[in-house]
Amino acid sequence: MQSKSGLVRWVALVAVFGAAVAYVFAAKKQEQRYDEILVRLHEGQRASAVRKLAREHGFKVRERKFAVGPNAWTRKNRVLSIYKYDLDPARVNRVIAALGALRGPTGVVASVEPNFRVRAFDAPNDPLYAKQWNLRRMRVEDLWKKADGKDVVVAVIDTGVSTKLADLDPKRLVKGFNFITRDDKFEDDHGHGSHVAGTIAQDTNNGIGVAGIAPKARIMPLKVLGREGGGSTLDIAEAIVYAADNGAHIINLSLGGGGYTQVLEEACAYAQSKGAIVIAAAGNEGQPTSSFPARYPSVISVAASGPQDELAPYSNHGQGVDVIAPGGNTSGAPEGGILQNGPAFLADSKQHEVSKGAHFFYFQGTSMAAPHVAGVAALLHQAGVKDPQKLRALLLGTAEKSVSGLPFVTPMSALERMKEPMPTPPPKPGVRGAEGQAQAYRFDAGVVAATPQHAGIVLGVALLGFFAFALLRRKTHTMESVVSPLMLVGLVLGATGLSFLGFLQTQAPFNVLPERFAGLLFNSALDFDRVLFFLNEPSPFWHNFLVPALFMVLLNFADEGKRRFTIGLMLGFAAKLVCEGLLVREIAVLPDGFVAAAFLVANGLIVFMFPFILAKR
Amino acid sequence: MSDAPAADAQRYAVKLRAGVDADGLAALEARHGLTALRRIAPLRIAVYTLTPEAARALQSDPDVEYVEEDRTMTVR
Repeated sequence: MQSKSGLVRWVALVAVFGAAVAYVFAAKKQEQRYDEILVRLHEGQRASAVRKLAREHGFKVRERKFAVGPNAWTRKNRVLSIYKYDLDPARVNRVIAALGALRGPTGVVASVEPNFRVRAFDAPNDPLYAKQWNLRRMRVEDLWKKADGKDVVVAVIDTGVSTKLADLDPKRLVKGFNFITRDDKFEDDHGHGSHVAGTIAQDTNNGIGVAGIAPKARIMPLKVLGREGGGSTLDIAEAIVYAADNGAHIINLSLGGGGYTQVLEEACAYAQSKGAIVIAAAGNEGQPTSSFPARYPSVISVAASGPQDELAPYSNHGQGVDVIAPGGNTSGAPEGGILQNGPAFLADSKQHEVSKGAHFFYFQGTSMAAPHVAGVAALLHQAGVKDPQKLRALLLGTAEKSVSGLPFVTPMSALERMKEPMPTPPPKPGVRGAEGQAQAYRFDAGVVAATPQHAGIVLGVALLGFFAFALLRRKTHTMESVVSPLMLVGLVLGATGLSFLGFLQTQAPFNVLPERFAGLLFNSALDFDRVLFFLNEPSPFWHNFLVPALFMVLLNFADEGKRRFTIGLMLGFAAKLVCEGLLVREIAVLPDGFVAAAFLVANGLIVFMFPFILAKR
Repeated sequence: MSDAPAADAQRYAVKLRAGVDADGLAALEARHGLTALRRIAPLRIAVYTLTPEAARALQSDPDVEYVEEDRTMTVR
């Protein structure tokens, strides 16, 4: 009998531990998206220079052997693949720039092509295209084989559009209007509208600057916002009606503020009734609700993501938001922004690139995300999806859940599945005045994307099993004296905090508490450094074995209950550090990758000894 | 009615009830002594510069569905 229950215990422990290991590796595998640069060597050249350069930048190298097509591998046509398991566009761009030095007819390298999870050989010749991580994310090269937006009219209701842009042919502007001065002088005196128009329809494959999503679409420039970027609700309403009555198929509203207005809601509904698709920025308040006008039922509200698919820190999300698209996140590097052509007068004040004497600016905002969807809508419109309701259902029905937790616009899938029936999206809640305000506190399923954290819980339980098993084998403990509910509470708090209830963070009352204090509840105590100081990377001064040791000393464990809680907490901490090491592999001060991983895992293993010390007492 | 706009005057949208036609609008403007800055005909909306008192008076006119003040919006 004794031996039989012992066997059951063994099997159960092995199963739990096996499941934990499998889960951690599954989570890891999911993270293995990579950026790849394809380097074609000149005939007879050796690869050593390229390999050396790649290794210096921390990239891996392998030989790519294409089986078919013009790139089919021969000894004369060697293609090296340089790749790295992260999606940091800045780093990839640095390597592309460095490889450029090896290029040329007499150099080692014949060509360098970024291959961002799309086939590389269709890239446009716009020299700054390599910096448009956002377009590659939308798989524009594949999209352009099916549609280019030709003759679709997109109204840009904004600060105007400059007619002096090197990378936006004024011939593709249709007749515009200035609703402030009441004339047809829609020249952009701010820069915002030109940038937005560029994302939609920048000249592409013209050898200058950057690309746009629907390169043949036509822009209707309607100026409603002045030099300072502000304007009147009534002018905007009038412009929306004008656009719908004058042949605009798509209307882009990269503007907001001022709360609910009935006039604007009616204007948007009118535009939709006339067959125009209205798309607007969800807003930059970082709130769990879309702002207006994006929130009106007849409008597609677009949140903004950054280069790693993350929800941009400023972006609204949650109630009333329909989809997410790249809007940029410059908090790490300016290259995390969206790069488009802008008027030269911005060059003194804004981060930019220069191509053929023209200026290209990194902007971020839900303003930048909305025109991505407007560009996609132009492609879909050209492909035959003309009804606003149908287009909305298609965009929402084919969007893919991304790490941000929000549905990411997936235009390739939308184009491929445009003939399929799509589920009717739930109608957006009607919003009027005080009612709209009240909805800010409604229950709202939020972001659930915390694979490393979930893995932390699973690994924590496995460590608990291991710990319990080790003690039970010594026969000095019984099951009851080892495992207790208090221990599990400690484990959860140590491993993840209440992160699995993270969606509550966007609800009342937590959404009215200061972010850093509300954050304490929803994170492991080992993440308090990040929560309190808004760090992007964990700090080695907090994520180490000394901090758990400090907790252990401070929590007086003379009391049996506290002792068990502390044992759980230590197991949670250990799991947290190990998971962070295996999955995140980055920490401030130390280099990312192996060193960071080794530091975190080693500290985690040290912390894993603490419960045994506690149990001895 | 003075011609110079009062200091606290601002722009308002005035939405007409369904069925109020051009003649109805002309009569409304005559009743309140107003001249429209512009009209957004498909929405049955006319835009006026009004004092808060004048806006309140229009709000209670039987031909008016609602009166809404203009607000500021900005780039995002």
